[in-house]
Amino acid sequence: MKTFIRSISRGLPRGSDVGVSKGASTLWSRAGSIARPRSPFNLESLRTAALMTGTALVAALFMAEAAHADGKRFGPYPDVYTQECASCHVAYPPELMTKKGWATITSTLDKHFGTDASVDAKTRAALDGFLASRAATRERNAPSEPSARLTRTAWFASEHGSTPPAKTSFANCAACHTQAEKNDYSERGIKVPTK
Amino acid sequence: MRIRILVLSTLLALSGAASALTPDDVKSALAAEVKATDPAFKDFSAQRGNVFFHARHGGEWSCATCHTELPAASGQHTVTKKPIRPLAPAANAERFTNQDKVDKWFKRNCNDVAKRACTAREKGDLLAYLMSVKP
Ligand code: HEC
Repeated sequence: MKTFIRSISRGLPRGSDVGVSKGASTLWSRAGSIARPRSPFNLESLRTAALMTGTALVAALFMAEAAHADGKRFGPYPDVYTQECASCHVAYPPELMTKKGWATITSTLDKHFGTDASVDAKTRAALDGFLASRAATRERNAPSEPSARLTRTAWFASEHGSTPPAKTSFANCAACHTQAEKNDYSERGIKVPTK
Repeated sequence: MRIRILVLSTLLALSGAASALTPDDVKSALAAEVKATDPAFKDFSAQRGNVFFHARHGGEWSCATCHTELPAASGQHTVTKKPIRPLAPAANAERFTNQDKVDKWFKRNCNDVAKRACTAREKGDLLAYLMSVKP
C-alpha cells in the first residue's frame, strides 16, 4: 500500500493538473480489478475488498491533499525573503527548485544574472535556512546549468516550454500568472499576452 | 535582568531613531563623510546629481533605466518588469528613511550602473537631485 501511494505521488508533478488525473485513473482501474470479489461469501476476497476500499480512501484523501498543495499557491514568506528576493522580481516559490540550486543562487548574489543583489552574511544565512526548509527534493527541480536558473529546470521546461511569450521573459511570472504577486499560480489566473 | 532591560530599551531607542530618519539626515551624514576628506566641501549639487542619474557610466543602464527619466513616477525593473515605486521622496515618503536600505541599494545599483561603488559625493549629489524633484 505504501508503494502504491508512493507510485501515485510520483505521478503527481507539482503544479500540474494532468498529473493529478493520471494518478487517479491508475488508482481506480487497479482498485476495480483487484477489489472485485470472486464469490459472494468468500471471506478472503471480502477482506481484500475492505482493504482495497481503505486503500482507495486513504489514496483519495492523499490526492485531495496533494491537489490542494498542487504547487499553485505558495507563501506566505518571511520578511527577509520578500525584502531581499522580491524587490526586483516576484518572490519565486522556494518549492520550485532544489536546495542545491538555491545554494548556487545565494552564493553568487553579487553577480545575480547581470545585477548586484549582494546581501550580508547574516541575511544570507537566514535566506539559506528558509530556502532549504522549503526546497524541492525531486530531480526535475534540480538546476540544469551552472547558474541555476529556475527557469531552466526540467520541471519548468515541461510546464512552460523553452520560449517565453512575445515581449516578456520567463523571469516575469506576472506577465501570464496575473496573481503571481499574491503567490497564486493557479490556472484561473493565467492570461498569456498575445502581443 | 537589568541588562536585558537595558538592551531592550537601547533596541527600542535605535529602532525609534531608524524610523525617524529623514532624507535630510541621510544627506547630512553623506556631507560629513565628504567633509572628512575634503574640508573645503560646501554643498551637494542637484544639477550634478541630475546629470549622473540620467547618464550611463560604462554599463548598459543608467539610474533612469529602472527609476524612469522623472523619478517622481513609478519605475520598472528593466529585466523583470516588476514595478518600482517612485524614488523621489516627494512622491514616496518611504524613500531615504532607512539607512540600511539606502546603503544596500546604493551599493547594488551603483555596481549595476557604474560597475563600481559610488563616492559619498556622488551619492549626496544624487540625493540632492532626487530631493529637488517634485511630483
Ligand atoms: C536594474 C534596475 C535598477 C537600476 C538600473 C537602478 N535601480 Fe535603484 N532600485 C532598484 C530596485 C528594484 C530598488 C528596490 C525596490 C524599491 O525600493 O522600490 C531600488 C532602490 C533604490 C534605492 C533605495 C531608496 C530607498 O530609500 O528606498 C536607491 C537610493 C536607489 N535605488 C538608487 C539608484 C541609483 C542612484 C541608481 C543609478 C546609479 C539606481 N538606483 C539604478 C532598481 C534599479
